[in-house]
Amino acid sequence: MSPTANFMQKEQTVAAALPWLADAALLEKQKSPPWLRALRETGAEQFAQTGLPTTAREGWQHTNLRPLTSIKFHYSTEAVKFDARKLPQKLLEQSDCIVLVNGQYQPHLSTIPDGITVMSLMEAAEKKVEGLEEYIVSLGDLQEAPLKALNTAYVRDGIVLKVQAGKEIRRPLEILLYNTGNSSHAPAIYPRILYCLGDNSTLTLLERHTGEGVYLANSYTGVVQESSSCLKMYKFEEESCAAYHFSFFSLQQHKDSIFEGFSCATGGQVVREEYQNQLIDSGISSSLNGVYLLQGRQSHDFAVLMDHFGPDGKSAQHFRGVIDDQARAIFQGKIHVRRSAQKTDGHQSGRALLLSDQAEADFKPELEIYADDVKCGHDAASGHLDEAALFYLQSRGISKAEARALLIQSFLNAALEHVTFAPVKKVYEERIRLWLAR
Amino acid sequence: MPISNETLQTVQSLGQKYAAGFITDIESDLAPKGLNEEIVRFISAKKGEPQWLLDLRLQAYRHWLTMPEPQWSKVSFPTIDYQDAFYYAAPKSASKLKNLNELDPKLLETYKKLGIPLREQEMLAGVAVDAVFDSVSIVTTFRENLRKAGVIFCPISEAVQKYPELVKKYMGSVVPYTDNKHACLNIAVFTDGTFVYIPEGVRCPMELSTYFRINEAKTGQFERTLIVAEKGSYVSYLEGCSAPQRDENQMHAAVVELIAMDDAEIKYSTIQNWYPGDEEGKGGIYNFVTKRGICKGARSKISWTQVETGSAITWKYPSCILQGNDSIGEFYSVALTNHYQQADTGTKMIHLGKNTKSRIISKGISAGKSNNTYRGLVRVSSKAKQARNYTQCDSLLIGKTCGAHTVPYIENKNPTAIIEHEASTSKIGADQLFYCRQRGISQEEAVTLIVNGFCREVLQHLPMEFAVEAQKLVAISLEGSVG
Repeated sequence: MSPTANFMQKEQTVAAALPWLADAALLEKQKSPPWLRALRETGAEQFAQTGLPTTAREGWQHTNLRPLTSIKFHYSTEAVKFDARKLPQKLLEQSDCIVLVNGQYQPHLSTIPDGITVMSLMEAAEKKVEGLEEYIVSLGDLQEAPLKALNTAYVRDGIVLKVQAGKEIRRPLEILLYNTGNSSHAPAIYPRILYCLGDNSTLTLLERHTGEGVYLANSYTGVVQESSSCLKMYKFEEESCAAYHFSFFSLQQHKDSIFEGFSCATGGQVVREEYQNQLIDSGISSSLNGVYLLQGRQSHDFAVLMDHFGPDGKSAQHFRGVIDDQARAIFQGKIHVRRSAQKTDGHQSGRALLLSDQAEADFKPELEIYADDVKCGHDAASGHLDEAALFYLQSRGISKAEARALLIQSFLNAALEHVTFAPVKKVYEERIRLWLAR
Repeated sequence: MPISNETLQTVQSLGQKYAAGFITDIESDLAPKGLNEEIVRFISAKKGEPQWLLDLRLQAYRHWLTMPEPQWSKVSFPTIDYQDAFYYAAPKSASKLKNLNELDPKLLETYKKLGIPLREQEMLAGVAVDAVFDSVSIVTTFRENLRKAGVIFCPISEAVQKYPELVKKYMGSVVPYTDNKHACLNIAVFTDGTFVYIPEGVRCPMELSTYFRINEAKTGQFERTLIVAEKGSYVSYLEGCSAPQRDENQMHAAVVELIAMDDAEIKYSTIQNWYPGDEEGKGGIYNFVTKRGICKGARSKISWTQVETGSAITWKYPSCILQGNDSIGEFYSVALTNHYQQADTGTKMIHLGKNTKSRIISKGISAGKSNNTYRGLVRVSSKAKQARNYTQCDSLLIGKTCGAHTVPYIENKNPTAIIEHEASTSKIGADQLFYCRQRGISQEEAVTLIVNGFCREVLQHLPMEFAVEAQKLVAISLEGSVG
């Protein structure tokens, strides 16, 4: 490209990026430590260079962000007003709950079990919580993730959650991220969440993203799992059907730690869930599975990276989806095995059922391997409901709708069976049943 | 087939790493160095081309200036200085040849060293050859036999003169100049290539073959191949390449277009053995090739088979556009990289018609410090009812310093389509090695044996002569990777 053309394009990118950064000026008036200010500036600079990713960008070919540009989103530093009665019931009765509304922590609505400390991000910054700065600043490559850079330009809301070393938290903990907005005033929400699990600690999390109206939720979740810790994280992506949801999940796992993740995606207009699991040391197990149930004009993108640094690691990705109407599902999984990660066992699988003529499924199951003594494989398949199986069930007196539901449930079960916490599995099953009966 | 004996003998007899690495000392006509509109006009004038082709070239050249370099592939190399190369090189004696006896004996010697059966009397298998030396097609054998069958097989520069309406109709119809930067450059500066036309209902009586060789220093080779198979015809086409050992990188940006009408079948096989650079990664060919076929008619079939052992960088995605109902696309590939080679290769299967089928079998072998990537696209459009795809890509890693990557893109817009993709990555099993060693086979021979077994599924799709050559190449390319 000629230098002038290059320059012109750069100018256009910056011009398109600027409206998204306009509200960041509000944060300058807020009291925050200098390192946090510097961080916001880095995020803003990075985002100005790339702008919103276009479909020409590798990894973003299938998620079109153009609809976002027609809406004016506003960021606000003021305390959000909402009706607490409108908040949804807890997913599980026997659980604790932490509530964030539009990214802002609501301590009076939250219950926190023993062994866990929770505070808002700004409170943690003020109290100079040990290791916070290092962790938040070590973000990885912002250039590779424009929406993460945008979140960084607005870093303020969110929570820091710490589990003491050696603590086994028996009761599951729900994190409710409730968002509210309307078309005349569509909020842009940029929560940043940190989970730190000490050595030998155990935690079961239910992360629920839901809301009403039009809004943009662009969250960044960072997780540090110390040695031999165990985290089960069950996500419910149930955003309002007019909402835009982008989440970036970055996990650092240390020696012998176990991570079990699952995401059930049903909500949102345009959604992208990005996961980067780093298996830093040896003997780590990391599994991330999910189901997506899409209808209307929904577009949902799962982008998962399992990054193996240490030897004897094990990673798994199992994703199953059902796509109806004009919806579009994207699964981009990647296993990256570095030279030092010998004896890695990695597997990924992505499958989709297309229920309508206009539905679309796109896969990119990728392997990048630099170690020779590894076992890695992937498979991907997409197709439609088996007519013969449908006929078989109907011939035994099962109605067509019921037979369809039965087949879809069994198809999704291949991902769902990796959920080891039974009460949550039940909730997921109920979600699927409701979706099928819609 | 006795793979192991054959390869072992070859390895021993060759005793050198890159057998085709010699330079032929021949005087040649060079265009001035660099690239500008004048060069484009110079090439066109040199070829005595009609105005429409010159216009097309200039249009492509102007568009090329505005195009960005493709950045998405997993290869790295310094920015190419397009001005530091010659875009036209022809052996001086090659102009206006009447028969083989007039050919420079040195050229004949070169092809003999390469094992190309140029002299018809030396031919056993009956393969018709079009040899392209640097930029110019030297000689096309077996013309007479082919003419009787009605087959046109000639250098593309000749086809432009003799069959302008055919060339005009099809050239650029599958790979337009706007496709990508390398393909665009090709149309601006292409100097020769091969044109094949198989008339309706004709089964081409022999295998057709082209041999490409880059000889001159600092030249790029930009050839175009265009194959048109009319209704109910069949052709099998082989392509081989080599280049001398040189320290600098040379560029090869070719374009191949295949067109298959109703019930026609085209089988296209490639053995790519461009100079891969030395053990330190110095020199070698940048092989940036755009190959695409269109199954235009119903029940047509295009099959790509490739064995990629050479080139410092391979950037190549032979593709099939399955437009006709019930058409079939196939892709069989072995890509082997050693030392500092980089390969980013794969295919695209675009399903447009009903009941279209495609099959992809890819075997990647990486050794030394090389990186080998499979990148493939399977796209099923909303109209491609009952489309079917099966993809299998396996990677083999030899040693701890290489990389093997798989990047498949799968896009399905039709609920009745069935798409399956499988991939695996492994190393040579210690038990297999042990078994061979126990029977007195040396480590290196055992590796060659196992690798040839790993590729067998693909190699068996090659025509016989090529299959033997491919097995030898696998053995030679693996040299120095064990131990």
